[in-house]
Amino acid sequence: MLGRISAILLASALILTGCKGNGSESASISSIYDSIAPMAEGTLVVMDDSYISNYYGIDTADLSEYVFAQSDDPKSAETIIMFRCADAEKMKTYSGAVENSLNQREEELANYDLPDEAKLVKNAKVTKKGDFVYLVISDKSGDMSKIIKDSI
Amino acid sequence: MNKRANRVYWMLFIMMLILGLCFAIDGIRAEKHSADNTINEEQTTENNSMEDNTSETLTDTEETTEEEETTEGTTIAPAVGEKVYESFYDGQAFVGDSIMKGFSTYASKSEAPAWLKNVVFLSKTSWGISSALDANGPFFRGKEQSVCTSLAEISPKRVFINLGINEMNGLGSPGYSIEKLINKYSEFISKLKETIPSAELYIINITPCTAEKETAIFKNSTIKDFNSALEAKCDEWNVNYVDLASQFGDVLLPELSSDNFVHHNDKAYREIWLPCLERLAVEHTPEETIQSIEDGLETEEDTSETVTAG
Repeated sequence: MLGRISAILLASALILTGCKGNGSESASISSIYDSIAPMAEGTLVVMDDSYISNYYGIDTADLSEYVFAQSDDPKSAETIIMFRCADAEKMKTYSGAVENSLNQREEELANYDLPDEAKLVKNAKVTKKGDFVYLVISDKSGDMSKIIKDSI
Repeated sequence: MNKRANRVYWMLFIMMLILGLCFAIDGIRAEKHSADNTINEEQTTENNSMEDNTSETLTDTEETTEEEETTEGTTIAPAVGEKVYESFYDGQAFVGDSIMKGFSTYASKSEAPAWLKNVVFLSKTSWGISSALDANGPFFRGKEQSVCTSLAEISPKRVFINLGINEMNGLGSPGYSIEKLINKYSEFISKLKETIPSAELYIINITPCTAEKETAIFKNSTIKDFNSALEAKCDEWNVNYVDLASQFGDVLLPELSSDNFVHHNDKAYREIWLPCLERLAVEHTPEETIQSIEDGLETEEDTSETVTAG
């Protein structure tokens, strides 16, 4: 009997340890960003808190981790946004604000006769997983999104 | 029985040993992960510090330039200047098109001065004077709304506007003229005055395009004509005219452009926009305010010397 209990305990411990080691612990947003930013076509700028607040209406104090990066070329749509927000209500509001910004960005780029950039925005999607929200607008969005998905 | 019990105890002992080993391995993994993160953070800090050094070098250059420039007018120390610019621009609104959008992104860069960090940008690519009063103005605090609504929410003391370059292409089309465009600008100014009556308005003129991209319609002579008409109207509107364009010269040099057309790069923002706005702040700050900032800084220095001596 004792032997059986010990064997069960041992197996559970091995599974638990193995799972933890295999990445159930998600990577930090800054390390995910560091791994995908070099794939960007242009120069990305990590935007200041005041910009995030004024543009998206997001109070960064409500986020446990975040990065809002955009191309320094106003004619490029390239954007990477990732944030974690534990408050479900605020997360809904903030992800909604990011979603709303897509319509204007698409219109801006289409009016500027940049149809390829406008198409990138049109195809972009704000994704939520638990407390994690992300948006990638880029030619490489497929590869970048896969890295994000695998890391969270 | 004893033999069996001994076997069970030995098995238990071995299992505990394996368990201990598992947790030890996990601990080592966790430590390695945390060390990796620390390395990443250190690398980021190192990069930032490198950027800061570059920024310091740039600031040194700017300071030298500033000292040279201010010999023409009021001479103010760089530390006083920083305070003057901060008090002049902090929380104020900058309204414009994609050129302003580029400036708003520049403001988030580490090399951007502290006084630019709390400016509120209302910018929209492909936006212009004709659409300035539309309901779908620049995105602000998560909403697409009229720029007047956003400005009413911000309630700034000063608003800096740079619009018009996107309309230069249309000036060759029938029904479009500089006069009509200025009339549209006039409507916009009236609406702004009605919405934020106590705010001072600063109209930044439009900047040239590169010589290579001039066409029969989109040309620097038209931009100059528009700016002349705008300057004349600013007096009538009782708003401030800011001559940024002449700082660029007759044409936009390719080395100051991000697209070899009309958009500006970091060099243009750093070497043309910032000094122009800094001069503007000094020119529009009363002498007694500058004096009180100087006095305040001297008192701070005296206090710190006394503390150090004590």
